[in-house]
Amino acid sequence: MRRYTITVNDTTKVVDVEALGADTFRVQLDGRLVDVRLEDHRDLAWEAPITPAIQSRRASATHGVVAPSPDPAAAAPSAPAPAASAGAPAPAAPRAAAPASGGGGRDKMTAPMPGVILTIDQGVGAQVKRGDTVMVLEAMKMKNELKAPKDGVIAEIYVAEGAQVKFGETLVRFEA
Amino acid sequence: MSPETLHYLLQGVQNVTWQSLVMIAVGLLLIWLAVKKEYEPLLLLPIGAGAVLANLPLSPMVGEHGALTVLYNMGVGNELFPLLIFVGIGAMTDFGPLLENPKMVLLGGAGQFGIFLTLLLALFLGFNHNQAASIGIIGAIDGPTSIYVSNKLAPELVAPITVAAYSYMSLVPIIMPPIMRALTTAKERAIKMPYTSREISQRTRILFPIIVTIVVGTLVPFATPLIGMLMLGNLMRESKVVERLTGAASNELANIVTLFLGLAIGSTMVGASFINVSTMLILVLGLVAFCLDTVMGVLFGKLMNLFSGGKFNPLIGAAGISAFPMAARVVQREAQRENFDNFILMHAMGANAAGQVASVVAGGVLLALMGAA
Repeated sequence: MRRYTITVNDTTKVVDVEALGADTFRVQLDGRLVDVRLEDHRDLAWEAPITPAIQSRRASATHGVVAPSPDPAAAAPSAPAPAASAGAPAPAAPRAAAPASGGGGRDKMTAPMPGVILTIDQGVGAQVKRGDTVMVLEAMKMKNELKAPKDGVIAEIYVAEGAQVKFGETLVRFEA
Repeated sequence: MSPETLHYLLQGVQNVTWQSLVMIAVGLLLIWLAVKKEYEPLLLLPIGAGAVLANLPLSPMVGEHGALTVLYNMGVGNELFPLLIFVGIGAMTDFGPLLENPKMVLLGGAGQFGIFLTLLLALFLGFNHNQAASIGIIGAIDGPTSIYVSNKLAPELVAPITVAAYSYMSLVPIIMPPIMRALTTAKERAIKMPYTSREISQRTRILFPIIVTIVVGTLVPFATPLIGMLMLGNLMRESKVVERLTGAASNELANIVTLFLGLAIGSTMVGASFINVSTMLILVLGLVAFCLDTVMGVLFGKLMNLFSGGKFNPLIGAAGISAFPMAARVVQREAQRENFDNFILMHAMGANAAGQVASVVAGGVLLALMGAA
């Protein structure tokens, strides 16, 4: 077990990483456990030798979600720390890990597409209702309101205004 | 004071005609739409201003040495302005969503059917071949393409065609949604599509404009100026080595040319020649072209939904009509009305970028069909 402290945009995260095998690790972040497999993209070795992929613990899982890696083709690459978003399964993908709180489903909001966080309309601790605008994501020069998927309290916000986010990156964690 | 002096002093007032008053009112309406409603203000405001300036009595702005006429000869009469604007559009366009989802090319093709249906309708209404093709091109829903093609085929119709194309383009958020809702069910509009985050390498992004230019230019030589300029702008953007040129093309050049183009087009809306039956018909046919395009796009989207086993959101078909990037935004808004959690913007942008390219190709095909040199 190794512990890393990662700071992204003034947010400090403590990540525990436990090696399960040569290329498989169990990552603990904010009380969530996620299994990550590291893959070596040989053809891309010069830009991103390693891409963590989340392994679902369910047999029905189709595939993992690739965490962001530095990408020279991105318009303005500002790759977030992989660990900070490694625990972000796509909304469409099966849930990778049950939240420690057992919140029963969607306890977090992920970026539906790549873009820039324009404004954050709610603060940590705010009580939101399903459909309330939490933040505005600008993608393809269009402002998209990201609304709360359920009623709850905003426990954590992982991004700052002006942050470039990738698809599937965790933006907010809710508590019921 | 001699009667002659009085005559000179009152010359302006004496030369007011009802046609010029009507056109000044139209110009002011365009300015109002731009200022108050924010419909395509970058274009409608200069067009409106040009119309007002050109229709003032004995306006020195038009005529042989008028400033607006100079602008017209500088870039509209020789098709330079639309091509320069295309460099800017190319520099602003991200073809990434299309490259991530190449099957969207089909939708871009489907969105062009309106052109040919409108062309047939215009022929039926008594326009000649060249005029009908120029009116049909309004259905490409792409301003520069409309100006370019109509100026080659029927220069006498450039003004009403441009006004129709740009006015309706600014009305995309109003014209499209009712058609989209009429042709789809709430369940279809709520279909979610997983975002495929395929990383497109820079090499692919650089090769795309080059290959498209060579292929399209070879197949449809008439489209070479349009596609070549569009893709030149895109190549500059994706090469990442000429940031200054990319910036200049998408900001200064595009803005300056838009101003000149708007004023020049507005100056052609002179009452005596603009107010006639064919202008009214063009305005009606342009609207028909827009609606037909949207209908065909959505229907093709429904066809793709059928083939994909219900996984394809048919609204995306409406983005295949060009009108880049408004159409894609309208699609996203409509999808979100059904379900705030539905984001199909990237798919729509892919179809929309395909529509932009397809419009240009369609313009070239029309020119080829008409044998215009």
